[in-house]
Amino acid sequence: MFDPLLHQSIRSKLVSLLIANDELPFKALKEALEVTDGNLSSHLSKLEKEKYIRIEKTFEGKRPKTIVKIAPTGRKAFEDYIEALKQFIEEN
Amino acid sequence: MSEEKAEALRQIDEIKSHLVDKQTFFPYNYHATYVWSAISAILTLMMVSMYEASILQGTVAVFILIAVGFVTEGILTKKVNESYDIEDCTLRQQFIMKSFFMLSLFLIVLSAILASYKLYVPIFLSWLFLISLVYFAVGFVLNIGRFTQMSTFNMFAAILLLAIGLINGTLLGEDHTFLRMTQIVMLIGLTMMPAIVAWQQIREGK
Repeated sequence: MFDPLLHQSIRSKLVSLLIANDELPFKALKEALEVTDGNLSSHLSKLEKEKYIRIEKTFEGKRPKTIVKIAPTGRKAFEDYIEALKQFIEEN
Repeated sequence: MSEEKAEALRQIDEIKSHLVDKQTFFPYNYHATYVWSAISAILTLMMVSMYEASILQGTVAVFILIAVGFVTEGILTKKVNESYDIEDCTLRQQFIMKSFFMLSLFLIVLSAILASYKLYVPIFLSWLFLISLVYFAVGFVLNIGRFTQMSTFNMFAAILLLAIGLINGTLLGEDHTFLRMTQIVMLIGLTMMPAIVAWQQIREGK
């Protein structure tokens, strides 16, 4: 019934942050969600695999920087997920 | 209420609380506020005797204390900024620090001038009012309600003390009771209250 990728606490928060900001650095997501590098990477991989997000690795000077961006598929899936949640709450 | 519905409502609440713009992320290490509180206490208690020794000695001592505050804050904040890695938040933080620094320089010069006329109460009131004004601006811009409330109280207290001092003619500092009263307000406004706000912000994980 609910999108299994988004119906998970960390991933729904993660996508919410990206919806509000379009893109965020990996480090900011890690701080905001209070998760470990490994945990965040695992969630990002699942979302990237379904093309909900895009991950870009860049350099800021000599420093590597990972930017996570919301993809159109992810935005649409998030909207559908919110609708599904609303509908479920209204019907129950 | 069914367990599924409760779960759906919880999920909606969590999503709402995370639909926040990155501008609301304020990479600041509130432990730095403790350092500023300590510096404020030292300045409040020692400033008069330092200026009494000599204006130059007082000015240098105040400058050193303020410099220690900025260096410590810079180090603590840099760590938090690195952990967020959001460039515009870092720039915003730097802008706030530069504003505080320029204001501090102005206050140091103003204090030296006022101290040469032994106007110690106006020195304290200038610090209380102007530092609170910056706290107010920071609190307003970054939506830190506690900072705006604290600074509003401080600015009103500074204006009230100035008015009392003008009416009673006690601004010269010859009235030790009025000077002590001003110092107590300084300790409450720029030492205790910022430390309490910092403690609350840290406790709430901000």
